[in-house]
Amino acid sequence: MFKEKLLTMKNKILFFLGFLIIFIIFILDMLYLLGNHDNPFIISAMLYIFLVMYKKISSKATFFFVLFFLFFMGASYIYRGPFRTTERIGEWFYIFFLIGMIQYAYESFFLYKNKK
Amino acid sequence: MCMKLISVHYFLVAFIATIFFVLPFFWLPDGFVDLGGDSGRLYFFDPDSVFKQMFLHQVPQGFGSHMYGILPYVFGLSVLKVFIPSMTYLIAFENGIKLLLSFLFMYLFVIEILSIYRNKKDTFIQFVGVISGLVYVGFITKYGWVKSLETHHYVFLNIAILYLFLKFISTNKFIFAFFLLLITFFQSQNFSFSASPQIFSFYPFALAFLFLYCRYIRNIIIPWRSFVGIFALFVLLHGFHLVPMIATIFDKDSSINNYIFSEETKKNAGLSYFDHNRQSLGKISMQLFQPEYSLQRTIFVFLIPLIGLLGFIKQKSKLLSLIGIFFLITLFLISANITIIGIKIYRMLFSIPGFMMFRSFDEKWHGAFSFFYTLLFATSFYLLFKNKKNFSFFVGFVIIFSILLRILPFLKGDIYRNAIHPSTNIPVVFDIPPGWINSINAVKSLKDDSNIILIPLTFPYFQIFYGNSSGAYVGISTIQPLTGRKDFAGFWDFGVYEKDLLYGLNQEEKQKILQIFSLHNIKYVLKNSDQRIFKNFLGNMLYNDIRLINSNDTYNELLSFFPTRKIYQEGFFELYEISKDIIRPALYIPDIIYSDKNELLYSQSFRSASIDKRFCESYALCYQLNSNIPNLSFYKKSPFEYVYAFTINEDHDHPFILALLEYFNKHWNLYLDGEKLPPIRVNEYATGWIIHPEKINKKGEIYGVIKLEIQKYFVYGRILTVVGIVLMFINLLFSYKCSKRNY
Repeated sequence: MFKEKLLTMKNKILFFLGFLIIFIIFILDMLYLLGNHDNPFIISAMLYIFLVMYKKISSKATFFFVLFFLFFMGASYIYRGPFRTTERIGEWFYIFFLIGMIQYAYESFFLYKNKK
Repeated sequence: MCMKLISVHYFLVAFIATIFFVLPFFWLPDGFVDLGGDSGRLYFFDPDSVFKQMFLHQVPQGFGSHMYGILPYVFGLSVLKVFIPSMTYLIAFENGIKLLLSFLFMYLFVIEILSIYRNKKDTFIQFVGVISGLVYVGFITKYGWVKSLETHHYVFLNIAILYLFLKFISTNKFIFAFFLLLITFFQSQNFSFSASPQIFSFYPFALAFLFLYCRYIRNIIIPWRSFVGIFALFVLLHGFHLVPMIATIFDKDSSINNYIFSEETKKNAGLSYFDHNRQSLGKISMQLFQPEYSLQRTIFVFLIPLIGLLGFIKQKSKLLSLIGIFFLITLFLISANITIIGIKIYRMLFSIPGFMMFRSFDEKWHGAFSFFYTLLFATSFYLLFKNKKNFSFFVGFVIIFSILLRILPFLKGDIYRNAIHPSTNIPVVFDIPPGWINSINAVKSLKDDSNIILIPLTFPYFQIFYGNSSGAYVGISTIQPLTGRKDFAGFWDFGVYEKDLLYGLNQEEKQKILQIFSLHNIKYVLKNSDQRIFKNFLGNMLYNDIRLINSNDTYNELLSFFPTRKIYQEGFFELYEISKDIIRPALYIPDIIYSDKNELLYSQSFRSASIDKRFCESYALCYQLNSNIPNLSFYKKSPFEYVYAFTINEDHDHPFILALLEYFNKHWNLYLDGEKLPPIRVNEYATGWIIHPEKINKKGEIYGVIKLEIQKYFVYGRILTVVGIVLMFINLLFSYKCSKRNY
């Protein structure tokens, strides 16, 4: 019983740790501290895909992430225009949209076959 | 109650469609037009003449032939002009139709694809259709197509074709395919070479979507055989422009072939241009939030992407996932700036022959992107609000308001209130000056086929004239499209002689200028003596830094170099004829031949020519004044066929050149004594043949023809089109009979 609880706790910690790392990478990227390359996207995407597979995260959760990026990008667009930060968030938006889209298509076509 | 609601929605559709149709009639003041720009829209002025000249003067020498597909459209305008004689209203009618059909077909298409959920007549489905139609119109107004390319008809055409295709697949009724083919025929220019970006960006994705939708969501078995038949009919119907275009593409010497396959072009015209554009135009946010050209950045920009996204959270849907995949692909392509790996992949695509047509990616992918974006919005909107109809109407009206606010400048016709660039704020719309119409008629009445130069000369090849009361025309020369006479309106028209002419004018070298005119068979000068042009058009369009061409007076000085006589004048327009003594005829036998262009330009003879050095050396043709040249006479049967005659005597034993002042094309063949002679390049740009009198069996007067052989493809193409039309109507008749029998 204690062992199971410990395992669940470990899982939860792992889950939140994953999200925290992605969030930190995103913040660092917004502050231009990670340079202008794809590493932040690759690391975050890999980590997120791992979490999706390990924790069976649904597309719904991923699209909440996408929604967060959309709001952030929109706010940046309204206040600053289509400049570097806005576009960088746009890239985050696109990558998570892509992951969410793959999950969503899989769920629609294979898990809920009768949903048109 | 339900019936009432349905009729309210139909009324709403009819009302919006009518508004869209009527709006463009308020954009231009009566009598005013906007015909200028790179592509020219002179068919609004005189569709009959444009049709006639295009039909007669097709030249598949590269880019000359790419607009040949516009013929059926111009023919349609000719018919329409009988009912709408006013040019202003004809333009308004065209714009109104574009707006109306874009809205209407998107509305119909959305209803059709959402019919998997509910009955098409359902109030809510109808409402989603209406909003989606408006969203689509909001997207497609982004690039101000009202005054742009002919191929911008894709804004309604793409969606119309897709809708008819979907109806054909789902009902298997030929009548839908018939109308589909008919529309494509009258809009053939949108399936020609210049429309390739719009075709290849939209149809592969849209058709793939349609097939997947029909097969996996609606469970319709695709009638592949019928589909192949329709495609064959399409090819036949479009044969008149496709056959010459394909022939030109596979001609290794053509500029189209060079444009598509050359590594040099791919690198310089493709990748460099793409990289340059990517920095400023590759913006995800600009595509997602779709601002109008006024670049408004309000809270409303959130609405459409937000609704598009929330649908994914609300419900699982195969349709939404299918649309989402295509949306992401087109978003990647239109943004062109998503991650460094993404950019590398994008750049690799440029190694595919022809992919460089997408170098202006933000514009070229816009049709496909706006289509999928609208569908994403429509499906998400439906899934989000299907159970909250009252709230959906509120959201819907907020969206309608936000779209109207965003595209208000477009709806007000602001695009027509722009000024010509670069100028001192001269409006792009103008009223036709009578002097210009009469000068066109004067040029039409000229007897021979010699070429004409337009003054003032411009960069690159534009004609400029002021409107009667305001505005001005700055666009492609109006002479050739309306009269058929080859003209030289700007320095680019002089091709390899462009720099020589500029240098000659700068240094005021009379002989050089005369030779360049003579070498291009320029016998007429149409001068616009409106001094305002020199004052109000800025930049380097008129080469103001060259003294001899920077004012009306100095142009008069230039004209005094030539032995000319004025043959017509009205208003600012003057027509001069240059003495035929200094102008080379279109076909001539040179009296002296050089191997160098500069020697030719300073030659005292106006019957001289230049050829490649190796021909000079092989046949000892150059640098000998030949006083014993055969007498030549010729008759221009058509722009592609000359009949000639010359006399060969016993004392003619040395080879000579026959020069034709038409652009060099390896398909120009001369038939002499039953033999076909291949051409060589003369005068750096023109066509010529080396004649060996000793090889001619018959002496005395010799007749022959010169033909541009590649013209046969136009004939083959036209035959295919006629066959296509006949087959299309036979098919329609059969399908009608079959449906009657079944009934």
